Amino acid sequence: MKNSANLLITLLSGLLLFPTLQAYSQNVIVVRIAPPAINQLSAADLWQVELTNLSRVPIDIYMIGTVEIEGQGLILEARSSIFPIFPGGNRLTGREVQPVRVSYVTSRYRDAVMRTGNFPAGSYTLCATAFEAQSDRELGRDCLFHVVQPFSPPQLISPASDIVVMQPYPVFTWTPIAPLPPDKMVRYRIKIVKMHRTQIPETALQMNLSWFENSNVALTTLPYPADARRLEQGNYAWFVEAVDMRTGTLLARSEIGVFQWKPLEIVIDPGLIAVIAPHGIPKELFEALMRPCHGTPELLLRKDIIETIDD
Amino acid sequence: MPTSWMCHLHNKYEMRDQFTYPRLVLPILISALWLLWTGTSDARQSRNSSQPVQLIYSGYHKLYFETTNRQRFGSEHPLTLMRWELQPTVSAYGIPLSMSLFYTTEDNNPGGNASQFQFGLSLSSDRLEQTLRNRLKNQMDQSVQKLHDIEPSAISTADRRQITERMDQLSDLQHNLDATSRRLNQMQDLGLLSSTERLAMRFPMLGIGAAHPQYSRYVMQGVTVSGFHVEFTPGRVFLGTNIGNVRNPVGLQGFSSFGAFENDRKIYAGRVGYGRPFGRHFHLMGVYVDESQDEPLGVIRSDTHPQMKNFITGLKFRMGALHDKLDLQGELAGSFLTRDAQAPRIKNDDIDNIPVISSLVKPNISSSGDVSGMLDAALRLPGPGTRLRAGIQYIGPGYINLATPALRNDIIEQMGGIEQSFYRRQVSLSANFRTERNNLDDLKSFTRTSTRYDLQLALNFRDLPWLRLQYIPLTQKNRATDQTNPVGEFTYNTSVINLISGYSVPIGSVLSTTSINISGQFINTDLQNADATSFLFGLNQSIGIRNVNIHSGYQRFSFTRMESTIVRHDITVGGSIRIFNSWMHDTGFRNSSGENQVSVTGIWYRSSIPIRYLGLFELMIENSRFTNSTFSDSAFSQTRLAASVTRSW
Repeated sequence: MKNSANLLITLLSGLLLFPTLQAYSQNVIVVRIAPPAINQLSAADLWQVELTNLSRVPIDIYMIGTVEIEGQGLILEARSSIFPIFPGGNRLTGREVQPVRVSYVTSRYRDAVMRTGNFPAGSYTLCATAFEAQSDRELGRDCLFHVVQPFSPPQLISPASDIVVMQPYPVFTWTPIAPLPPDKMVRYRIKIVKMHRTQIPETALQMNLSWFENSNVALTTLPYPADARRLEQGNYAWFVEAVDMRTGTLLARSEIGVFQWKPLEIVIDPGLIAVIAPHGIPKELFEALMRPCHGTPELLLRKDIIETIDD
Repeated sequence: MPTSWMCHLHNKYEMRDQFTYPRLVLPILISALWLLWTGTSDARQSRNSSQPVQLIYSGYHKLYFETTNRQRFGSEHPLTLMRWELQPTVSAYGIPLSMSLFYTTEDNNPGGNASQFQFGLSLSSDRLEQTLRNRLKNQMDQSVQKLHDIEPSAISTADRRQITERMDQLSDLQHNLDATSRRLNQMQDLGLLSSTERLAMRFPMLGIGAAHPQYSRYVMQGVTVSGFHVEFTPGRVFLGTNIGNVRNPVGLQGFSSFGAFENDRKIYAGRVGYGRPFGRHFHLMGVYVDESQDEPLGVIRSDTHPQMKNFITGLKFRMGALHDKLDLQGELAGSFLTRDAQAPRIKNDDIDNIPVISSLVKPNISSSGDVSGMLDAALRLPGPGTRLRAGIQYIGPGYINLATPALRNDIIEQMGGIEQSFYRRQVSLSANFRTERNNLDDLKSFTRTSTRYDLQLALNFRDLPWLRLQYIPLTQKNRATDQTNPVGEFTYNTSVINLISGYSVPIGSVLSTTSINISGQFINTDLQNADATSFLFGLNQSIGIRNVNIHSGYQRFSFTRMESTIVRHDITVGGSIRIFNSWMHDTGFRNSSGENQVSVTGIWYRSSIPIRYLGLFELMIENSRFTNSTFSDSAFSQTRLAASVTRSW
């Protein structure tokens, strides 16, 4: 009777422990792939992995990473070198797993990654699997679904770079990003900075504070608001970014646009004055007339014009 | 000024410690002010003295102050700000040394970036060249005067020939001054160049501090490098290097920051070749960008970012042909980027054994490389007054260059244009086109093609109103790469028309100028909600009577989208007067209003007067009242005061 009871306890215990032991034997290592950057996927993302060794002893393992694309299947397989994984949490580093052997199924994806560092547009499944080095036994695995969708950036339309803008509230226009993502709330952020004397547009946008900025433009057209800081005579640099408002992710950025703004009060083309009225304009009168309402950079130019006319 | 002291100072600013910032800046400001003051006073002394070492001081400074009771919508500027630009130059032994200092309080708000302090010290070869040109001109004038003053009978033929030969040489130098050995020898033979100046002419750039090196559009442009900058030209050979830290862009919290990066970034750049960058030349360039996470003085980052390494190499040239009627420019560049220096290395002998790149960029699984290039040709036909231009540029889909933060990639672009003038340049016509395509390797799901034309007409007939007319149609097509699933394709058509015309009539001492401007933009697309039309009409009248000028303007702007139209009217009336021959006053009134929109009514006054020893003083006060009819409590007023002092000496 006593033996029977012991046998029963042993059987029950075995039944209870069996799943645990089974799990222990298959998932000795918990693998977790870190999500890649939004809209990007590189071969390096296969090794952004956290490994947790559930056993109490170090295990020598190697990793195999695969990338599959929806509709075509496997496109990449990469195998790491053998490295030890210690009990507890481990974050993989390049030094541990290198050198890695990478093989692409087709040259299209290899060429894309070699040239751009990223996979082309598509829906991908990444998998990272840990194998015991000694027995080639699978110890853990994780897979991740990831979409890559690079966008064509907004193209700046107006003000065109070679136009002198004179209206106090000019209309800023750009084209939408392509494709227009149905699952994202796309908003455009426009930034305008005034350029200092010797600055180039890139430097001005990096170093100067925004003259005007609006991060929540739903359309691709924005009349300059009347309650924004008034434009003053000078050169301005601007660009537009498309942002997913739900996540705050930057989707695409336009090139840099440059425009010159002059107040409407001074609409005389300085170069034409000499042609229109080359004789008989008193210097003082002309200087007073050509005086801009804002800014001083025009001062030297005006003097030159006056001298030209006098000559 | 000791270099180590300045480096230490610079590192302090990079810490972004807003509390130490003013304390450190003050001594510099005081020192610079002292330099400015003593410089201006010493300049007169030095010029008049006969001491062997002659110091000549010159320069430019501008102090700008602005304060307002509230900031306007969308502006990142603080309520009160000050900017100061100072560029003093000291010439010793004829060699000008320039200092540039830019200081602003604009970024001292919480969350700001205190890198808006820029300092540079450099040999000003531009100023030296200008000095030499002035000397040449003076010598020429003296020779002409000498010939004019001396009686023909009182001078021998040999002496006359000597003077005219000297004048020929001076004229030759005036037109062909450069830093080649031949020209410098010529200058020295004529007694116009000292040996120290000759040495200085060999250095178009020699400086420390903040600079914006511009190698080319594809290799390096648009970064601010704080460090060491040298350009050396032994004869026609050009050598240049820029080494230093890349300055991170500024930006307050809540505002975008263009080209910002996370790690500390250093640049090692160099170029070598024939000729100077802006003339005829052939240059080879190399740039290495290295990121690291060396924490400055106790600042601990809570997160880590992949450290990038980027090697860029390129060549560029500019040459003339057909007796300089044809101007050819070209460039080819390659960029090799490792996105994460810690990513695993690939077992690939092809990559591991690339010379230079393998050792610098340490290729691994995160590495990639691509190329870019351009060719541009401009033909000038002086006879018929025609200018033709054509060009092509290619930027590969993977061309990423950390030294050109604004460069778009994945694009091929062709452009061309013609300019023609008629009737003694009274009529000029120009037509330009630009077409571009992206998604060069079908890596995106959509391909964009864009074609833009730009047609311009300018009429400048004497005694008739002048006119500028511009028409810019643009078509952009977005097509799916996978044509079996063309969902989301769209076409975007827009055209812009600008017309501006004016006429000036002098009647005695009165000058009347009338101008009109009309501008329209028409957007027509396949997309919902994107079609729009804007139209602007403006009329301006200005009357000048001696020292008084009165002007008025009216603009009507309408914007239509989805059968909804908003209309704005802007009226400006103002006038200016100059008294005591130099004191300018300018005042006026403006109003901008429209149905269901913010209404703005404002007045302004500005005055400017040159003040001895101080410079041109300008003051501006404006008050604007904003009213939004859709909200009952949204009326407010803004008063803004701005003052500036500008001086060149």
